Amino acid sequence: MKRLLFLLILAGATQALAQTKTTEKLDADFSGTSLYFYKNTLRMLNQKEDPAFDDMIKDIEKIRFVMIDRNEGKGFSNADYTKLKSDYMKKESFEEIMNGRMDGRNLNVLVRESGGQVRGTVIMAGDSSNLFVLDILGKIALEKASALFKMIDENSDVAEKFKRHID
Amino acid sequence: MKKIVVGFAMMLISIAAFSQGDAVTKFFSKYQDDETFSQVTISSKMFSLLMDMQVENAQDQEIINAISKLKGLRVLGKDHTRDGRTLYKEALSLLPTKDYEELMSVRDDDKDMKFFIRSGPTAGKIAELVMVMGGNDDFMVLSLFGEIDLKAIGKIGSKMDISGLDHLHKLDKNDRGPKDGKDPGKDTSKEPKEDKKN
Repeated sequence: MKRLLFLLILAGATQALAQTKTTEKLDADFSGTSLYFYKNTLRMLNQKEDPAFDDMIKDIEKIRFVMIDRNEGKGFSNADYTKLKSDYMKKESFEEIMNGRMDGRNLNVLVRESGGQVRGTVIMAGDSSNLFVLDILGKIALEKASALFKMIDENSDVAEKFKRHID
Repeated sequence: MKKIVVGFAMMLISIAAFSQGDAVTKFFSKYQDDETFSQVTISSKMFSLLMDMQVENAQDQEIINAISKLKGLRVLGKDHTRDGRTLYKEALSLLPTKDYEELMSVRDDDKDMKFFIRSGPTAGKIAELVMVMGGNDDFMVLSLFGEIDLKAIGKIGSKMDISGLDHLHKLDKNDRGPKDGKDPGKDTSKEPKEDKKN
């Protein structure tokens, strides 16, 4: 009986840590780079020990950051972008809470709730050359999302080191 | 329009009673797929998520409470265009004057701005705020809808990092209500060179 309970808990934990299938498929289907950040590695990015950054990541369990070169391989079309967003919404029960377009760049923010709490956040950002997807297990204060992008961008060397570490 | 980082600071819920007027929707529908226009749409869900924000003082909490009653925000704009004035006139012509009341008009450098409100079912509250801005080389139309407390609108405007909306803080001093027999607030700090009557 204890073993069954253990297996059930293990299965639950595995499910909780799973990335969205849509992001996995995106990474598998298109040329690009995929990075994983766990809470501890996100703290590593905070080299200036900014308490605001710690506050920003406190409810994040894991992040998958996917960068797709839209002109590589078979390419990533606007129709692919639309389908990607649709898959998050229809197949993974995400809800779009914001979208924008400016200077040729698109931004979409989607969240998934469970029990009244945000359990997942997906931020899609792209232009004609690149697509960036931030798939967050947990939640981030949305007004601070741009700061997270900036921090990841400024610490790309750390991200690269981390990528090599997990590969 | 570049200032539209839209501080991610608004959130809402869609209910038919609070939906946008047809004219505004029509204008957005006409141009939202035109990639020469910038656009931002924020849903009620995002506004409701703002309720989780940690605030530092009672004044910020008051603003968050006001924002949490918003149902949506749509912004459509175009920079570096010669059509700014033409689009401004087109947007104004589509606003039905029977539904929208002019709240304030501002002339700021080469830009003309008009703010309109649509009354809501609750006294003292408005259902929609529309801002139309046109200049020599840019244009923007913004629709903020939901349950909007006119008394808090100046503070909401100051918190949204959207060009033009900051003028709403002038209403804090004027504090006029919709369709209550009083004149809408008017920016007097920058004396309008021209005050077009709607």
